Amino acid sequence: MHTANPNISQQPLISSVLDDNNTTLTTSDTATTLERLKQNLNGNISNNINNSSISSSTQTNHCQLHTKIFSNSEKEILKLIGQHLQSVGLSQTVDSLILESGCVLEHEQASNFRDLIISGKWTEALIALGKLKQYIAEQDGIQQMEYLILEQKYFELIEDEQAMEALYCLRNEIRPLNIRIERTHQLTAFLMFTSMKDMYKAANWSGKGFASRDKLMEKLQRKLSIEDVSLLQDHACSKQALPCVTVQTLTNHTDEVWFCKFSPDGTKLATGSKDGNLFIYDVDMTTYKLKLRKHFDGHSFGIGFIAWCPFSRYIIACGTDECSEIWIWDIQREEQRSRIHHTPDDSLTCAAWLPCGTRFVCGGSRGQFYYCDIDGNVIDNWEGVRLQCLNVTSDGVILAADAQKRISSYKFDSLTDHQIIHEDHPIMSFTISKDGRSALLNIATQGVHLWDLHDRQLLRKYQGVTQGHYVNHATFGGPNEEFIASGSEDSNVYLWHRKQERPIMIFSGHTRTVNCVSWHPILPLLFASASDDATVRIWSTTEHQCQTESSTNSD
Amino acid sequence: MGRVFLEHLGGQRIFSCAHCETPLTNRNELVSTRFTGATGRAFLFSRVVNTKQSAVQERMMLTGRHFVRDISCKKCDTKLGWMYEFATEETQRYKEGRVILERALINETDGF
Repeated sequence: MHTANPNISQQPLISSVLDDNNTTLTTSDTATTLERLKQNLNGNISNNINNSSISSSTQTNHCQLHTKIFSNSEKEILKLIGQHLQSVGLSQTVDSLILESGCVLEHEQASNFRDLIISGKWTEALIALGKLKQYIAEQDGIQQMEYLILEQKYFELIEDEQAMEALYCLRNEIRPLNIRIERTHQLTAFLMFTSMKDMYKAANWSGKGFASRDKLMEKLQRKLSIEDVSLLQDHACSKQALPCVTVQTLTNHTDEVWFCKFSPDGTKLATGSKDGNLFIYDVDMTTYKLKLRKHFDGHSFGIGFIAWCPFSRYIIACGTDECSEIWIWDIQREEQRSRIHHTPDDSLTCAAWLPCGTRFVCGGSRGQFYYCDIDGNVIDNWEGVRLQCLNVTSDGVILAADAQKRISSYKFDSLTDHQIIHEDHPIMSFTISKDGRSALLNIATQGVHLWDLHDRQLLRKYQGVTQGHYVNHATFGGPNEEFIASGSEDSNVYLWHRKQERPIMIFSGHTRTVNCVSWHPILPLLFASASDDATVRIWSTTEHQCQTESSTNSD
Repeated sequence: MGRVFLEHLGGQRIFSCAHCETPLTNRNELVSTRFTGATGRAFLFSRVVNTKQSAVQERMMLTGRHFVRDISCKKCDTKLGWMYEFATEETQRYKEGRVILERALINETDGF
């Protein structure tokens, strides 16, 4: 496996923030620190205000310091500067910075925990709390903290008028902690309040939102005693932070697996194969383990493409070139919903849902391009386009790659089309990023190309893959969709960082061509790859590696 | 307005627009001469440059139903022929993506 360090030089930014030292920074750690610094600066106050506040803080005397109050963003910037100075080795400067500003440099996990609290992700916060166990001084400190978090969750549920959930939280989450029993009794009383204002007064609570969560964070902060800062881990570079091991191999298929896709809500994975079977797996979001949920069969020509509806309820399964119908499965009811069959000469090989979830477009290389609704009625028909691949952006723009190496957008109501991308070589498949701005194309014999859809520009070509013989599907993935992953005919899975042409990691494990890679839409460290060797491999970090590698064959 | 960008494919025998002499294609790109347009004989080329395409239209031709786009000169806007987007019959599929230029609307000259 290969790793590479993305080298981001940030010289102009440094000179404006850290006085006159124009040192060239080449270590990856500092580069990432600066990246975060830059993000903070761009996201918050302008550079000038930053400079003045930082310089003013270094000029104030000791006796004035403790009265100076920094805003949250200023504090964060100071902490990042402190971490950077620490990594460069100027520990004396760091000490004086801590003294003067009164900010303690934050531990990465603590900042993660803080983010979870502020955004209200209670279950994840509790999990993160478990990881911070070693920093809690008191005996039952962790339970006290859990109590505080669950209390906040309880209040927020009451405010959202979800009484049943609040009661559930009280009974099954707060009660079992077995501390502060009187407070628990008090909490039950709050459920009775009919007006929110009275409840706020009685509970001394300021209402759901940033203010109350911030207060909660302060209370929790007092319990945590985080020591010295550790170097900021370079998220993209450290091998431990990347999904690089097979945590599970799914062997339910008996023939080449041609397609795999996670559902938009992240709870399921669908895989389709040449053997005509469609398997649905449940994804456990905490252990990253997959379990077979349902098996649909009957596709006589094999399944070449799968499209999840935006609400993760229905799946369209398309066959190959010879197949003239597409099947829609209802995952909730675990049965077939409809079969779209227009004429026997059709070839429908690709499909995409519109954002409403009740209509979709489908088409194939024989020139069929239908706009249908979920019952199988063809609402509209665009004649004369040989489609290779279909996608719909979240705004409802229909994009299609046709046999003439173009990607165009189609509007059925006005029957107009606009050409967006024109490639020199045939387009095998393409996918769109979540923000609808970029498209990732698999080009026969040329590799993976990244295009900007708005500017109609080729941004980058990613090297390393072998493809051209078999249809291949690449994907965006990772935090902020920074990674690009694709399978290859040399049985490896390639991973690139969006900004670099050379792969940062190559995963081996499959024994034959990898046809499709699908990244989990929510969890940043989980993806699946489908191969001609009849297996689907689930890749994640070493922490999530299961004890056994084989799949669970339960029904 | 700006300067119109024009390409030149080169070749030994060059076909150009009869009206403004813009180079369009050459003998190497010629696929077939057995076509008929509104003005008479027409040639099928695999690649033509310096042209503009119209919106897709459905036309009934001698060989069947086709979806075509009209081709005109990029510089002077005169009609030159058409290009095939889609052919309904399987036997006519070889035309897709290729361009018909009518003999009366183009000139053939020697290249270098």
